[in-house]
Amino acid sequence: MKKPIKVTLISLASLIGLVLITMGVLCWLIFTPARLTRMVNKEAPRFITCNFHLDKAELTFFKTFPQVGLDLHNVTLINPMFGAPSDTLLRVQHCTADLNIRELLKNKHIEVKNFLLEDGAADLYVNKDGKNNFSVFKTDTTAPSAEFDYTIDLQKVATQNVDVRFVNLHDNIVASLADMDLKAKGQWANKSGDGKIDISTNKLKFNTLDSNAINVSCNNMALQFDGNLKNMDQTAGQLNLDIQNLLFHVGDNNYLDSLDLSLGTDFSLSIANQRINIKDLLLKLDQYQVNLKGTAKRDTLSGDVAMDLQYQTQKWPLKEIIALIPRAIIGDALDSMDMDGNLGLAGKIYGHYNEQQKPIITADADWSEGTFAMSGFPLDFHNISTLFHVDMDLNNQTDVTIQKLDCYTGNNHLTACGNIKDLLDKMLFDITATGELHLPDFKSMLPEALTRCNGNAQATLSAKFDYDQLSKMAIDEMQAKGYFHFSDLDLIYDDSLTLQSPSMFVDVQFPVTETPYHIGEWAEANIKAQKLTASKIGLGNISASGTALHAFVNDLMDSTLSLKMGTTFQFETLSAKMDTIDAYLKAPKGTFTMKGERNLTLQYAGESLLAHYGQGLTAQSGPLTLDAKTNYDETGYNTLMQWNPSAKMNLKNGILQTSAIELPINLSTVDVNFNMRKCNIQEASGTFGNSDFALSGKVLNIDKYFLGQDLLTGTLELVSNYIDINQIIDVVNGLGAPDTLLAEVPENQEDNPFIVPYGIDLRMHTLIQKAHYEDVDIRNIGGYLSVKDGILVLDEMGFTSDAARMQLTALYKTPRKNHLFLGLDFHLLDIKIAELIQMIPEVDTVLPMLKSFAGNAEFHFAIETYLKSNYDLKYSTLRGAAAINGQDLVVLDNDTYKKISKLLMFKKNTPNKIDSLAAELTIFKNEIDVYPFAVSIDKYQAILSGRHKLDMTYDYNISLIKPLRIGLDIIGTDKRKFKVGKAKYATLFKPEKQNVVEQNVLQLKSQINQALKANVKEQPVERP
Amino acid sequence: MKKLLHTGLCITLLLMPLLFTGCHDPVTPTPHRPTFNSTLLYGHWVSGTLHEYYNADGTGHTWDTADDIYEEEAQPFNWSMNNATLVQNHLMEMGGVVPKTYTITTLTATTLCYHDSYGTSYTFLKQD
Repeated sequence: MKKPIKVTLISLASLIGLVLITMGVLCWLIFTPARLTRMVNKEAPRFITCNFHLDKAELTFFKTFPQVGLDLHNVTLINPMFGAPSDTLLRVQHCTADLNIRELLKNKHIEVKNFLLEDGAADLYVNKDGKNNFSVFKTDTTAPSAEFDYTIDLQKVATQNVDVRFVNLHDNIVASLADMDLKAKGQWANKSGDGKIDISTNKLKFNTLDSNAINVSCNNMALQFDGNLKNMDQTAGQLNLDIQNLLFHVGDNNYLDSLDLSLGTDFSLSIANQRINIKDLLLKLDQYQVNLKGTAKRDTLSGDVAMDLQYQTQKWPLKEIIALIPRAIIGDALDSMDMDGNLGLAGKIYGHYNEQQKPIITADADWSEGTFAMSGFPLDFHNISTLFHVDMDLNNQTDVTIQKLDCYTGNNHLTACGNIKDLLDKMLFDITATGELHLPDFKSMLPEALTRCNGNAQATLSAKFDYDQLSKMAIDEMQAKGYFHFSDLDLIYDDSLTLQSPSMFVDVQFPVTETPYHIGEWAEANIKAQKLTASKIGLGNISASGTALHAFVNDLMDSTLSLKMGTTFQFETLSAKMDTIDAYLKAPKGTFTMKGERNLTLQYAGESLLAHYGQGLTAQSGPLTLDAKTNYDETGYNTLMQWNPSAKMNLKNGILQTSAIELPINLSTVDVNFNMRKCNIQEASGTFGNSDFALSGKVLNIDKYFLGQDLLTGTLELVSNYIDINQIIDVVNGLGAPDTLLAEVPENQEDNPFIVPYGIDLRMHTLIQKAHYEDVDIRNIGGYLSVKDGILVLDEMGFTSDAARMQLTALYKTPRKNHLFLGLDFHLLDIKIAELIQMIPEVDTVLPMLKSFAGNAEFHFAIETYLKSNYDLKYSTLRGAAAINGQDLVVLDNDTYKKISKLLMFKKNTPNKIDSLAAELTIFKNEIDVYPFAVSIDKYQAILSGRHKLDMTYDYNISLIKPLRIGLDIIGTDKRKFKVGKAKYATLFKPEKQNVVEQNVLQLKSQINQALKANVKEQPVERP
Repeated sequence: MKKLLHTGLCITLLLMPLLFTGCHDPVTPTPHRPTFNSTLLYGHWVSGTLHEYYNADGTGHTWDTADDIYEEEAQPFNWSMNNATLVQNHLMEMGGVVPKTYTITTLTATTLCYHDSYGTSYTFLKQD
């Protein structure tokens, strides 16, 4: 710098300094504080209506350098007002102002170079009528109102340590600012302006005085605004707000409590419309950030705020965020939940906010690394990763749409999607979940009666339920449809029903859409399993392969209901064990219903069956159909009557074997309709040992038979080609006899007489082509075989053999093992005598003379006796009668005949042929009394009579009445004796000469003969 | 002839004990047939193991304990008595009757003797 210039500048500066010093001295000398104070006090009432006081007014130079300002000390405005908290409106230690008066007066330009309030307090008050205490500046009310056409230039406006208290009873507002510092600057012209303001305060309080008071307070609030106002309406700018320890309460509801809040945003605001447009707001509540943008508009009349905002958060720690959510908003909806993880939200807030409405908040949530637990819900979830959408509508309901959920609980991996309607109230779940499940983890969710639940499952489950149902685990009130593939399944229900399967597919649905069984169906299931075992205590167990079930059950969750079920079934094989019954079935299918444990029905069809009933009965069959039902009554006399079955059965190729009967019964066809009252045998054909049969008929009183109230009655029709009677007698021996009878020890312990079944009254008509008994073949057996309570009856049974045509009525009963009754009414027609004796050797015993004749005869024989256990006769009980009629018999030429011929003086060439023979005899004990009968041999006619004893002694008389009368007594003991004497019955067959004895004899003969022949039916003559 | 004499001697010897029982000879016809009070027949008579019971209504039953038979298992009969002739009609369970005719030789309060036409005789003692 050149020296002249330097000298010039230094000189100029010195000059200016001198001027300034001079002016200061002049001002100090002319505008002394005392003069200036008097001037202000004098002039103030021209502008202020209230009392005014200041201690001192002085000019400032350096404080407002380079401007000269006015500094007022201890300014006090006093404006007493009834109800106001203080008479002092304003009290300021220092009020420094630097106003360009010349510009104000000359150009209507308010230029505030500097305005500073220091260390003051203001008590602003508005009473209920809207009158305030701070309208203390005088206005010219007479002058016409004019627009504010000043321009303003606030270059520096500030306050320091100013407390402001504001009470507005008209609007029920109380607010206060403590130690407020304010810095403001700006310009205003033509109803527009711009500026910048910084406000900070150590404490801010705001509250309303209505019933639902809003209370806001904070410490250390700092507010910066840099913006503009256009046309007194549109304002825009940037706003930054920092608040510490913010409290926001409405009534008893705490919305915010000791939180730090910061906010920064660009916004625009229409004052007239009360509409704000937030361009990019960053809100931090503690460390949690939200980005917000959008608009909000307040209705000036109703106060309704219409919002359309968008927000987005960072990833928040969910548990902490939940803790921040005001209870006033969320209520106690989440109290029972424990959730954590990281949650990011993005969404909208739109709608109206007023006393009746709250805006709708939507959220697209990304919840990761989450955990979830809910009291009353037995499962905890972890590793939750989900995307879901929330529509929070506090006016109506809050809905959640789960777009994707992936989580774990226990050892289970679950994925799900769906929605939850009304999240904050009823929580209506509509969820579709898939999972790989470890069943024991879910045991507590399942019915309590399911005491064991082991296995794994791949599951897909769609369910609809609500929170109430979920918290109560009221599964029966939910809707669900699931597909499960169980592996290693092992279940025990109610400690009585078990189910095991290594692999089982189940489709389950509840509630049901159809009720095919009318059992109060609640759930249905389609079950397929290659291998399946199940058991029910008291009922039995099953083991199945190739299982396909379509089952319906009633409400399993209702402990007051007994289990009911109905199912169709189809198996490849099925093994079942029930009580003492076990069965193996091939390809069974059908329908089973259990309307309570006591009411069972079964429709069954199967390819084959093998069943065992205890040790006593084995049954097997080919194709079998069965339509059965039971109605269990525990008061039943025995197991069969307790189950009270009724069944319609049709089987082919069956085999029945019981321990009571040695031989199996082969059933080629059985068509039976059975219940406990009757058994209707449509057809039962097959073979039994060597015998074949086709049986039909009815058996009645089955229940009464077991109860001991009545006999088992029935009428049957038996058609057979061949019956082996010997074999049948052997195998049915003693069937059903009383225990006391079976336990009876016979005289000879080796004896085991046939005991007729007791408690049975069966009548069977037989049509048997051929039968074998003892060593005799008999044919064309037609008649009735009856068994009635220990009595076996052959009723007028007709049959033929090689020896004769026969008719037999037989009665066999067994009151005691050593007291057996046998009665025979036996008619042999056209019998060869020799073959008769061969067939029935006992005939020779009771009528030994018969073997002296040859030829055909007619033999009628009624005899009864009691037998010992070895079938020996009890002779003391032997009773009988017989009649023999023969024609053209040949008297065998033996020593006896020769002797008789000689004693009766027959000619040597007399033929030994008898023209006719008609003899009657009775048997009593060991006495066989032969009633007199006449025989004719050649020209000889004789009457024979006498007694024969079973000890082989006899006493016979032959009365020769033609050609001469002579009698011959033949007495047989060890040695036969012959005694010739008088004819005993000389006039027997001469009625005119008969005596009383002879008449009685003939009458008895007639009675015996008629009685014996009374039951004879015409027997068909067998063609050769 | 020797045989005839021998037989007659044997019969005589056999009949000798019967003479001492008080009963009439069952073989030798009695010219004069006595009559008996049928009421004396009522009741239970025993001959060894053979039992007979006569009811006043003309029914009766008989059993032989030698054959392991008890009274309740006895077989029924109807009886009638005309002078010394006792007729027993033994009833068969299968139907029919087996008539037996006897001649009473003794009927007292304690003893009953009868025989048939073939010489078979019975002696019963009254059973209380």
